[in-house]
Amino acid sequence: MSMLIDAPATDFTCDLAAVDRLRSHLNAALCGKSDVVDQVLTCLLSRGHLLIEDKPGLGKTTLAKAVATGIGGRFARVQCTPDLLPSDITGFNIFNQKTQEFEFRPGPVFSDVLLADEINRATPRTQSALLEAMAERQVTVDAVGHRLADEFFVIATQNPTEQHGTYPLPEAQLDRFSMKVSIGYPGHSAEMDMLRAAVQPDSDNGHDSERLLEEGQLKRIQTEVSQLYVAEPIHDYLVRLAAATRSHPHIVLGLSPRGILMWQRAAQARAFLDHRGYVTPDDVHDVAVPVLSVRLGIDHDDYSTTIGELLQSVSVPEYRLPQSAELDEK
Amino acid sequence: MRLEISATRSRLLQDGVVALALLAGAGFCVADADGNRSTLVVSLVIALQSAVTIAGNLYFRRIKKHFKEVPALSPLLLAVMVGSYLWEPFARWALGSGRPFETLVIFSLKNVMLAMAAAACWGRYGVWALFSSLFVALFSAAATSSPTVQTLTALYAAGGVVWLTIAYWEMLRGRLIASDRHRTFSRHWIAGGVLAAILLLAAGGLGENSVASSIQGWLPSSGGTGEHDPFSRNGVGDGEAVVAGTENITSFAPIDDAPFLQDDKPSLYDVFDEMYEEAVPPTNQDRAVALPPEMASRIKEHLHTRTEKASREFSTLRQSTERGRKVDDIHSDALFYVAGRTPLHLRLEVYDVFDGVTWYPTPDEEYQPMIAMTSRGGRNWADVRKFSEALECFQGPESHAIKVVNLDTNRIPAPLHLTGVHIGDVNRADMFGWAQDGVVRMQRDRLPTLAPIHLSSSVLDRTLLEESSLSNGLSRDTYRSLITSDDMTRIERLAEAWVEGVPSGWPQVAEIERRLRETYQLDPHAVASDEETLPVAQFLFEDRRGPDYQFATAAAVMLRSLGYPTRVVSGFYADPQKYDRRSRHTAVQKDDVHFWVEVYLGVTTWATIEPTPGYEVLAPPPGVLGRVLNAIVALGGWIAANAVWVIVGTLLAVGLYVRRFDLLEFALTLRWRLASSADPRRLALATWGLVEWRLNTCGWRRPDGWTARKWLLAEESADLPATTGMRELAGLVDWAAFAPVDSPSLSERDVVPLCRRVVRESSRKNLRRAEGRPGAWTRLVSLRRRLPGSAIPNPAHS
Repeated sequence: MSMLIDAPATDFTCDLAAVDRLRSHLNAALCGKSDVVDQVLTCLLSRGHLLIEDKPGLGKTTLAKAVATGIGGRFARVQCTPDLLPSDITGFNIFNQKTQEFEFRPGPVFSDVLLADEINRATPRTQSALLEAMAERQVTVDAVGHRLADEFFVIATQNPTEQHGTYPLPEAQLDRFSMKVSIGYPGHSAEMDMLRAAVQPDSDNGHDSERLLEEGQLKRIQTEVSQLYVAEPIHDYLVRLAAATRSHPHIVLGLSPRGILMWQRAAQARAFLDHRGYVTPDDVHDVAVPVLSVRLGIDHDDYSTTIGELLQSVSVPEYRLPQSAELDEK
Repeated sequence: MRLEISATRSRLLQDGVVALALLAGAGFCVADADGNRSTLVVSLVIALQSAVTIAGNLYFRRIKKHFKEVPALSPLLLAVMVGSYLWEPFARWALGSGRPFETLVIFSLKNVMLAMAAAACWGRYGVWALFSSLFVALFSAAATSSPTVQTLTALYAAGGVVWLTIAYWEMLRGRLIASDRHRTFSRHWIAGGVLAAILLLAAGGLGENSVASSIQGWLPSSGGTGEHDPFSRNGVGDGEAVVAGTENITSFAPIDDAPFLQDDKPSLYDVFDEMYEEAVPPTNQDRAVALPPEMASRIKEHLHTRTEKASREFSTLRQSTERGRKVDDIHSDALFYVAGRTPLHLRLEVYDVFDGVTWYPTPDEEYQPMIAMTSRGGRNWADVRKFSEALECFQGPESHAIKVVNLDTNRIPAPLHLTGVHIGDVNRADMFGWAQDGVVRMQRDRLPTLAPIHLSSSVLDRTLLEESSLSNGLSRDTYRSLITSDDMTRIERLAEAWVEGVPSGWPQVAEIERRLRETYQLDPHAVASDEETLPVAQFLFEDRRGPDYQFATAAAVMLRSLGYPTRVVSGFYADPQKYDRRSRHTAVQKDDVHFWVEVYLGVTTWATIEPTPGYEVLAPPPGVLGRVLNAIVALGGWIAANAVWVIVGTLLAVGLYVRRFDLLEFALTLRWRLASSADPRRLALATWGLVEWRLNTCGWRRPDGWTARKWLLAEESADLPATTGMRELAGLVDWAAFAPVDSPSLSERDVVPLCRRVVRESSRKNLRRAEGRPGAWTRLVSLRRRLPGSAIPNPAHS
């Protein structure tokens, strides 16, 4: 099948190859979790930020580090605690005695991949500072704006089980994340592989030194993804889906316009990962759960069932000749 | 405007608007013709306007893409409207036909409506076409009562309801969350219901047939249906409110220019002579001697004073004469018309004294009870009740109306248990008088022609008489008198033999009637051949066949010999066979002249006895159950009459229904083959359409929110016999539907073989075989049902 439809609109073969390399690199870092890797890549290519909701020790940091090395960027990590201040994240001005001037000390946000561990332990004030940086890709310290890196990619984690002393992210803040995924426990064979790999003598992070993407290539790929072709029926389908989320009895907060834009972008990234030059309804379906679960106010915990219901309730676009094709023939 | 949005969006709704407009337009054409144009011409006009509208619709749809906004079509609509008006002078000048003004206005509106329906792809025009079609349909329904228009209006109403329902659901689509449960009717039941409705329509709704008339009158309307209903409003010929036929032409019977104004109107006696040959003077004069002296004197008196018009004796001795024409050779005009239930015995002359050959009429009553005028429902009715309802065997009221066209008499032909007479504006009681016992006449030379004479009467329910015994006490002996002769003695013995063992009273009367009806044959032109014996004895013992007056005479003589007061009555028989279903009346012609017998029940009440086979006595009106039974009997009769066609048609229909998908598959695959285009996109989409249709008809349905790929690959649809080819096709279809048009096109070489392969391997036969599913017959018999609520197809493996 793929030989028939591998016909992307523009020539970005080397970008595809780079993404495939990145994908295998992440797969090597995180054993047996290719679907999670795909979701992370989708999020990265769609220029969004990722929220990982999972228990400790499942490889969140490993994944974030692997992403950072893969795209050849700087990696920073913030362990969120209640006493973390906004300036601990954004950076602050200090007075330089030599130059008799204030100079800016950049915080961890001035990196390419930022891992914000247990983000729900930070106070709302700190959370909002981080979220502003995520949305605007710049921070303002003492009325001076500082631009962040173009590839700036946040992986935030939160632990769903321990709720004591946490400040759950409000829905408005959650909307700034592009996706929410959970890694989950690896399968039996994946864990066996992991254990075997751990006792190998040369196992010590051999794979995280190499840089897989060229300078500026991620940005180029992200631009290509954002320009990937989306047919008119797909737009219509997305709008109908969004309308359905707003009238669903179990969804308290429907999909925002920002959410629908992110959904489309994620579907584009998904098509790109599939080496396809156009979005299909299947792409929309594939990214629906991570995109929607982060931003829909669903009044019970069974996200995937509700989202599955939602997808079933809206009819997919009909398979018919594109109108522009009809016009062309006339 | 919600309606507009819906009408714009859905192609189905646009088609619905066109269909409704065409229905309304067709209805108008039929109403416009008003029966003055042949069916062929009307059908041609309808076909033409439908074709033009559909062609226009297709054209507008094609050019719709080039318009961003709704185009201004008002010049076109204006041209259609003006053109419709300009057509009128041309039609009057060139074709010699025209329309009245109000019809012309609607004609113009109809054309504008059709033009707007053609442009229904723009919601605005669709909605206005719909509104105007409603108006046109209502106009057509009000303008005429043609059954075609009624059918079209009913179809229009049904279509409108369906359209509105679809519009509503289209509006809700996308706003609603599909619930888990789907309520599905079995398609077999729906199909069966449609078939039954069509059958019912064919049997009862359309055309003039016996099934339709047997269920008539369940709900009499206010307009000239001829049925009696106290709740109907002032209309023509309905309920208590009647309008004289001279005032309203639609009441019934001939219209003004019908050829009835002849001078030589036959009287009852001319009709007798024409019908029964001429009377001959009997040679055997002795019979009168046998009569009691007072009766003989009455005969003498009668013969002296007889008049030309009425109260003439009737001789049962007739002779065949060579005449040029016979009654049944010629097409005779109706003498008068009867509206109301038939069969009906309309009495004109009553006979009591019988001298063995000749019946002498009862003398006009000397004591003439006052006829009072009473007002019922604002109409003047002459109260002419002459019987007592003390017997409690009457039902009614029954109403009839007669309109005299061609009968020269001043007696009113009326049923036996007459209770009232009403003629238009006649409000004076002295216009009416009594002729003979129970026969009402008008105090003038002849009945008014063409004025409807309304009669109200009661109907005797003969089934209620079974228990009641007849009273023998009676005022006049003449109803029991018989001459004494050998023949009479024979007849008397025969009568006694017939009723032997039958309890006396009504059962004996009924037995005599039954015997005569069953063992003797009607021969209207038989005459007595032997002059020595009495004609009635010849009829009874030798010929065993004869005309109706011999039956009546025989019955009267036999009943009298058993002691029951009996009289012979002549008049007319309104034959149900001559009921004209279109004008809802029965014509009474010369050959409907008839003789029958009345027997005395007691308390001044008589009952009609019909000894002649082939003639029936009016029974009380059937109840609801009776009507249903009549309808069933009529339907059964129709089915029996067309048994071969019904069986062939049913078998064919069932066969087609069972094999419908196979036939459709053949047609669709053929279409796919013929329409396979070189364009890989079109080919892929057409192939997928065919494959999905096949899967659907085999019981696998793609859930609403599922894409083709998901459906074919999902674990839940593991029982789907999806092949690799199909899965490849699903990817191809995604490309065909959603890839940019300028993307590198796939070559025909890759697509065509795949599509061919998929079409071949996904034939319904293969699909069923892959699943080991039962054939169509087995499935129909087992009537298997799908589990409700399963979004995932769940074909039962029986």
